[in-house]
Amino acid sequence: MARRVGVVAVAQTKFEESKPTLHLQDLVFEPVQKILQETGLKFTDDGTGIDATISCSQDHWDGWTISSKNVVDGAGGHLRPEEKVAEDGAYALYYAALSIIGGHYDCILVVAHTKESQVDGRLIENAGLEPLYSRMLGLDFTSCAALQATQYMHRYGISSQQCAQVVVKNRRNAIYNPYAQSPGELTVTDVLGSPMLSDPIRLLDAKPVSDGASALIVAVEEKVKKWTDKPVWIEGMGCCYDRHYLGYRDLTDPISLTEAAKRAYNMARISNPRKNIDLVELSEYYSYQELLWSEGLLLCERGDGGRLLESRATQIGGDIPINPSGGLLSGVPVNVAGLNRAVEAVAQLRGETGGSQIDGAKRALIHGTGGVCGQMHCVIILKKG
Amino acid sequence: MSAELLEIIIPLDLRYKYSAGPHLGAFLRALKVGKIIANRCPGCRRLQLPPTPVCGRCHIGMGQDWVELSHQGTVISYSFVVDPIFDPGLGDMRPVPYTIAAIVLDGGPDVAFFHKLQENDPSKVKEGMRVEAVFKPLQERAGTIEDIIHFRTIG
Amino acid sequence: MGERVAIIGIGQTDHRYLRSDINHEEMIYEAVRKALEDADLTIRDIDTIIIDNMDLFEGHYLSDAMSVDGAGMYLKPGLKMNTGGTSGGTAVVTGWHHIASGLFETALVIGWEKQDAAPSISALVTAREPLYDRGMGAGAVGIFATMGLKYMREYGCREEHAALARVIMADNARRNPHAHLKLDLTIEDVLKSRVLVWPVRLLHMSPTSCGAAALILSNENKSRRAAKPPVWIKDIETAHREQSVWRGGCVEPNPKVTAIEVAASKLYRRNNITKPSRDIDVWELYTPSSWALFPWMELFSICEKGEAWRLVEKEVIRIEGEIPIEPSGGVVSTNPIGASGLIRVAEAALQLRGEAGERQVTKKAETAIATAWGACHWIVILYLSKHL
Repeated sequence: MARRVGVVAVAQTKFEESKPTLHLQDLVFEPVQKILQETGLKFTDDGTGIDATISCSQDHWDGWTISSKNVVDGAGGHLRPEEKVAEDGAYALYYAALSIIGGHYDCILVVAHTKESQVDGRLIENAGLEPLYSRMLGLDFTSCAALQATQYMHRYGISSQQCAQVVVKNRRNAIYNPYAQSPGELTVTDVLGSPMLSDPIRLLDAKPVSDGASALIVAVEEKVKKWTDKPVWIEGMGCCYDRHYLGYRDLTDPISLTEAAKRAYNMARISNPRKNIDLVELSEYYSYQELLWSEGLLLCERGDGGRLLESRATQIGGDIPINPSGGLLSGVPVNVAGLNRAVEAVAQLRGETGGSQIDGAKRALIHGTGGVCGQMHCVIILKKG
Repeated sequence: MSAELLEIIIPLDLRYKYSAGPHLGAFLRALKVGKIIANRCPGCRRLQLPPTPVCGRCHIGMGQDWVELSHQGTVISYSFVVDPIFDPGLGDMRPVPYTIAAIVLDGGPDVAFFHKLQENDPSKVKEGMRVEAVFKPLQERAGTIEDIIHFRTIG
Repeated sequence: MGERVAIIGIGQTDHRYLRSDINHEEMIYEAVRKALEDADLTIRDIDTIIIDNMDLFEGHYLSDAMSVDGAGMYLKPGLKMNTGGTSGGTAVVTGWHHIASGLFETALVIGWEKQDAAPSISALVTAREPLYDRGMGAGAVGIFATMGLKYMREYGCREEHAALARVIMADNARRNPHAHLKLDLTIEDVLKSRVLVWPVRLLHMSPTSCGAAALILSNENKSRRAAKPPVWIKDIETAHREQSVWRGGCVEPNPKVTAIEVAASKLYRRNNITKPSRDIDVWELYTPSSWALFPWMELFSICEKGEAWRLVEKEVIRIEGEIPIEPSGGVVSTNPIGASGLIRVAEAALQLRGEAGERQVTKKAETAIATAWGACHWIVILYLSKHL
């Protein structure tokens, strides 16, 4: 990379099932205000502060067309450059880093928000299916995920118990996370006893509805070094699309994730992800996805996701901890998810996460995904400075 | 095979439960009791009507500096809408014609409030004319923008 | 600084009110195929794809996910931008950053809208604050009515001038095979068209169109070896604005500073453009209403305040004129929202290549400004040139 890009600061709101007292403007302003107060940086034109903003939201979730318009005040867009990535928050970070590497900007504020509680998300997800031959079947992302889970579990002998163990692990990890929505000591029995949504996905196997926002400031190397004494560098990035119609895809083979991961690994010169990476914050909308994505990320062989989990390698204290923050299963909003993974990973690399701290962590992988059954993925590698 | 085109109508019906938040909430609650309030930016001292949490220009929180504005004001711009538009509140096309206007309320010189005018006769509306808010009877108000029915011409 | 960026492939569909013969993917594919053919490349030569679309207008959630096949995004990196009217311009800027970063050598940028799927004015209502504004407004039309009223009062411009602006756009559009509305208009026709919100009449406003456009961008190395002479994107600038419109109120009824002025002055200064009317040969401005043309010309410093209507009266903005504006026929002739900003860039690039056919401007065209404007007074400006 010609120009090195790093993270200056991170901020987020607490995640909650519902934030009825907050307007969307309040929701965005909260982490932005925090991050500005913490860094002392301002929106400037002369290179002494933040040059531009990249926001991240979805019109359907906000109920606003041109949803960034609603938050432009809080995001610092008045008479300034502000663009909206209409994809998972990890893509917003990806784009911000690109824009700095290209040299047009030196410092960018990235902010993502969603208030899932204000609308029936399942109807939105239904609108994410092809209109003429999928939507009318009454599919949403959960029922489609159930199709993927069934195929995956059948092909490789993954069990419901293994999926449930992901939930147990992540909810317990969330106990150490002051921003987490649903920390807790669950058992496999609790998970398997929760109401069925769409076989085999039960209520506790699915990410809960959540409201919240996250923000991050990235900058070019000289400015990162000037503005923080705990820099975290972006070493590698990659993203990739798969096809849309489920019938065209092998749902047990997350090829677009592997493609995105390989691009990131190549850029970061990582030849052995399992060994070279110290922690992973991935986006598991459903419990089985943590297993499937760990295969896609080449942390283990195809089909070994369940075995990886049972080896305890992905626990805090294992050799490849996954979601020490508690992950999405502990309650993180869609869109914010990928950006929040980066926020959590940065906190880890800076040694600021308290009880879930991974000792000696130097490299983290963050992951965001969008679309049905993980149609597209974005992977970013972060390294402690 | 005939080249018959197939088109299928698929409705998208999304209902949103929007939160007003503390600032807008205060404004809507004030409307219910017949008051029009704006908040003032501690930085540039501009009023925001309807209120917001952030001043876009200064990029600071607006705080709780509330100013009550008069129900009377001056029309600075107006439009006669004759092409109907869908009203999500009615679930149908909004009846036309109606007049929308940008009104500067007395006491709030730097902000224009958008609402409807009672007067729908184009020959009787002009810039600079004085208008006054007409509220619904107290018991019919719900804490929405429609607690003000429209602005009638005065003087 | 980063890699230099040029446009090496241009493609667009013929824009129409209805494209009931194809679905959205097929429509996107039309534009993509044309751009690839234009550049003499295949999809395998494309490193990344950026797409923009206003999903809520179409009713599709994650419309990019639903366009992968048509857009050629399978197993490629890419992302979706969505910023309203400026989307098409933003997408090109996004592509520009991708190439400038050096991480990608070629980028395909796609903008599209298939508005026969859903009436976008209804979706546009959702651009207003739900809690106090949605019943009030008149879509985008109201803004231009206010703009037109004010301009006439302040500068003595008359309805006839906006009508003439519209006639010129129609004349241009008739020479553009891709344009949606190819009307044969007189000033009287415009003045007789239905009033929407006075002084804005139906003919002053852009239509709702279905269409797609695609550009292929590449770095200097690849551009110099491209099938056609590259058109360089020398610089870009974006400025948005606080939510002062569409929120049931207007915190600056008479804004002292506009996003256009802020962005344009930065861009001009960086590129030593001291007299825009002389330094820029072609203007593909995004003017969604004939009434916006006059203030836009002044805000872009093409002329002094209050002078734009006089320049239009003298018809200097025609294809044969000294200051050709929107030789494509502009947004009032063709407006597939997600594509409109991109079409401005595509049309400007065709002009600089000398490939604009009957709508090619008469004067020598070496530099161009293409812009995308969004309904909250946001602006994206791209400065194009035949030379580096």
